[in-house]
Amino acid sequence: MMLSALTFLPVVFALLIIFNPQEKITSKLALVFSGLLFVLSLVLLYNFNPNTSDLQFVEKSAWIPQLGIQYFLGIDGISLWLVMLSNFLLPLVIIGSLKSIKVKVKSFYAALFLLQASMIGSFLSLDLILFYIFFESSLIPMALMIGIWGGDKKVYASFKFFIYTMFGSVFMLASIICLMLLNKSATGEFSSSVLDLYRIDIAFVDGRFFSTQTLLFLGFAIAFAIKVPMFPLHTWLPDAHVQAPTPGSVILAGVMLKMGTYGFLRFAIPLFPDASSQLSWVFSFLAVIGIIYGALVAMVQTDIKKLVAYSSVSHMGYIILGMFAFNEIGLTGGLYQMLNHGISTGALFFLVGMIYDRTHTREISAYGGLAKVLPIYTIFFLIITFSSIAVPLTNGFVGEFYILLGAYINEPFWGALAILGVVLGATYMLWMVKKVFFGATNPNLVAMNLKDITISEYCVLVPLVVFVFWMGIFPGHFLKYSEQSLSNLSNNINNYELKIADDFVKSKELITKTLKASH
Amino acid sequence: MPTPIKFIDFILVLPMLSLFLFSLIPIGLKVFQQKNHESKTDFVVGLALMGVFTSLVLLILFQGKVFYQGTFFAFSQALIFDRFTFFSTALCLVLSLLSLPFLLNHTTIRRSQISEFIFLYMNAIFGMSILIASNDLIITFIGLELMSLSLYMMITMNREPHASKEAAVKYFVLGSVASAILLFGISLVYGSAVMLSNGQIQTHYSSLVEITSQLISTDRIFIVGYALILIGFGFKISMFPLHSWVPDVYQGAATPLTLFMATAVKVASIVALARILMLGALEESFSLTSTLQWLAILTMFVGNLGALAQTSLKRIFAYSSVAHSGYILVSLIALAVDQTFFGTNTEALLLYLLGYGLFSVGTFGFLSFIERSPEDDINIDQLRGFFYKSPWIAVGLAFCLLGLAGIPPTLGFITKFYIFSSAMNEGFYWLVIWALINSVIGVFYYLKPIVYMFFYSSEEELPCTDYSFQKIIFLSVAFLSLAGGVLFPLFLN
Repeated sequence: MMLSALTFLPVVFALLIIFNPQEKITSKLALVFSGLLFVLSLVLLYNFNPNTSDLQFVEKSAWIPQLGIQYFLGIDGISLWLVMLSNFLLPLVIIGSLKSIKVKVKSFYAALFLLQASMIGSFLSLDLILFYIFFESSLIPMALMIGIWGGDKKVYASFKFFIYTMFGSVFMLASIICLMLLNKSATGEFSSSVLDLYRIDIAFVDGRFFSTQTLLFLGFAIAFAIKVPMFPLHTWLPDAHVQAPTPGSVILAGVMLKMGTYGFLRFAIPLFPDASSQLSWVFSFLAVIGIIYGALVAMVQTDIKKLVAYSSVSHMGYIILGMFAFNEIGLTGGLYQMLNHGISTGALFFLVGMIYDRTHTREISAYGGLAKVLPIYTIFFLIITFSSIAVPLTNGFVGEFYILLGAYINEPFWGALAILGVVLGATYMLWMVKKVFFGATNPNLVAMNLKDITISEYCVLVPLVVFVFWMGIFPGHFLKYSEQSLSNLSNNINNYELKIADDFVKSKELITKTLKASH
Repeated sequence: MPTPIKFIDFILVLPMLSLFLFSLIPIGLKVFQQKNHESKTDFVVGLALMGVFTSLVLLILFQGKVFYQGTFFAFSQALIFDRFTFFSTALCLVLSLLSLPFLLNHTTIRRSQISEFIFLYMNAIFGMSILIASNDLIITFIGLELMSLSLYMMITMNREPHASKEAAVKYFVLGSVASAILLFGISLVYGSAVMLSNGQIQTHYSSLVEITSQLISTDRIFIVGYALILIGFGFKISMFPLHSWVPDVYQGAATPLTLFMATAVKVASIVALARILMLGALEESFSLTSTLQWLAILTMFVGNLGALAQTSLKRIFAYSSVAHSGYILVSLIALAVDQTFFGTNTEALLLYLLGYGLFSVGTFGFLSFIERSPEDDINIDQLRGFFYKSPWIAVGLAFCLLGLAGIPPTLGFITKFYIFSSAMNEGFYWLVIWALINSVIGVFYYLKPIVYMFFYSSEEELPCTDYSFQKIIFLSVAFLSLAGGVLFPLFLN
């Protein structure tokens, strides 16, 4: 029930918010609800057993038996942290949107909770069709968020976001149907549960570019590569980020992009191990291009938010590079970097939103010497910047170190190229920091009589900064939960299997036994 | 040999008969009253609703037993009653039931002619149920003509003076040609079938199915005849080169009537075509299968690309209906090459029709209660900021559009998934890929109204009729589109 609650309580909350007659308490209500969800996810973490790679808290029942589609939720070390991340960011996003969202407040929070439900659902579902439904459902609230509460070119951005993602996932749907048919011809029964699909042998001819497995893999890979987004398919991201309202950007960068990388980790790689290792050079190549290209483009931006958006492209490239290194170190780094990116880029978007609320401009040239005007804000911004450019003792360092090491072990060339990206990353971020915070103070800024960080903003930033250091200094606290799952994946990548944890099986057996006894 | 007519035959056709009898009541009242005094619109429409509802109840009462006892035939095998008939008749009746209330208070409906209008309306439904149950090409033709002739007349009975007349003439002339082609095809098929068996053969489907596979590979006359039948039906279901009437006629007709044509009428024609395809000709004829495949692909493209260029909502929805014919053809082709009786393929088709019908009730129903004057042609631009004026209606329309686009978690996604997996199961991989590409194109124009409603704001007021009954139907259809995605298994049982 735990996982269902995490997935569907947000839907209930969204309905409660919509039907709540008192407009005034909407945001307080939303805050309470998100707090409840966070507490619930802490309970989940507390009960999670880190010493196994099995699926835990499994819920499984037939949904459309004719096609073998199940309602199948489960969690393991890979999905645990993503669920935690999105439940952690949600209350912060709500605190952050207290000021920035002024119109249609009810609808905004409803959309936010629906988005939460679909994201959690896609991290938890282990049935491909169920996953697809959650994966696609997340488009609607996000598109609404950009389109209703966004900036000047919101319609264009929202449309582009929707069409791009939809286009990719259509190919995934074709692959899913093919997989189900393959499972039927192998076992005689329809099934869309990943546990069954991991087992089937999909025809693969080495040396030929297009065998069945490669085609199916590409179907999944296009969908996830657009979502991540990977280099040539990234153009929707800067538009969506710049036009989205601050809370939308945070969720988009913090959690939604992870749906793509998670998809690679959970579905694309283990389902099609041969094809993905055959094509790993393509993905590593595109990832490295993404890292360098994102950094170079970020360097020439004049808009802070756009700069952060392109830095996102660059950082997501690291994650892909780590995952396609196919060793435990790389995978660990990839997973860790997903969390880091969620925290540091999320925080950057918060910070950009805060300064935008005060000055109503995001042009770098409009700032200068902000450190003297807003000292505390500057401290926070610097800490997050260090996390983003992977300075040791911050979380970014751990993730990037793992990734670069993994990539180097797998193929030194990619590792070497990616290190170039680290330098470039430091360049554009520090450049921006220098122009915005240091140097001669822009007289307009002084005239504006800006206020430094308020209490609600402390509430948003302090937890994020705490995690920046906690994750940077004690990575073991976090990695111990995913260790088993990741080593299971990297050691058995060619015959990957997931088992359902014993206690679930036992309780099922117990139920059937008692039922039989009662008969 | 023709079998004698038995009592059970009449029991089986009771639902149809009740439709016909109810259709006589309003027009009879009008004839017998002095000075052709017209009854109240609400009363007449209420009578029609009662008639359709009675028919639905009778259908469930008397044909429900086909579930347990298999297939029934009536009137020496002229009509067939099996689960396929049962479900599709029920679907058509439900869709008619949903579309009737939109006639109330609509500006284009002539109140002075409402009795005649309802008479025709009910007879169109009567024709549809004959068409669905027909087990014989001639009966199919009769059902089709009864349905079409009523429609031709209903389209002209519109207070709007120009477009509706043009639409009616266009539909009538083209429809008659299509009917002639259909009839020619039927005569060729019968001719070759009877020649093969020296006049011994019966001409209903159950006997035709035994010889089709043989004739299709040997007899050219049969092939031509069969192709002509497909062309005749292709017109009715708006298959690619024969689709061009759809936007004009849908636009010209009164919106409640367009709703009826896009849902119930279309469903009935498709079900009849499915019966003809189930004769098994496609299994043997590769060229016919590949031709139909290409036509399906072109239908989807023409519908989707056509809709992209439109600004009138009614024309957008008309083109979207053409595109949906393409998706339905995908399902029909899968059904035609593997007619495991009432297997997954049939299920997929019926469910898709259900989903498509419900969403079309939503989209056209929305148009019909938003129209103010007979000449009204709602432009997409008029939807600006609609969400801020009537949020619930806007959300409802958004759900219907997302359902038509096939985006999860609506019912539209699952039904689309179902037909695509049934087509892939038969090995039509490329066909499905094309269909998937098309559904991405479709998203463009299905999103457009949503974008206008939600993302723009405007001062201009777009009025809604205060007719709450229609709104309730509209909102419940929209809700079904959402809930159907989750409660889908219930529909299967």
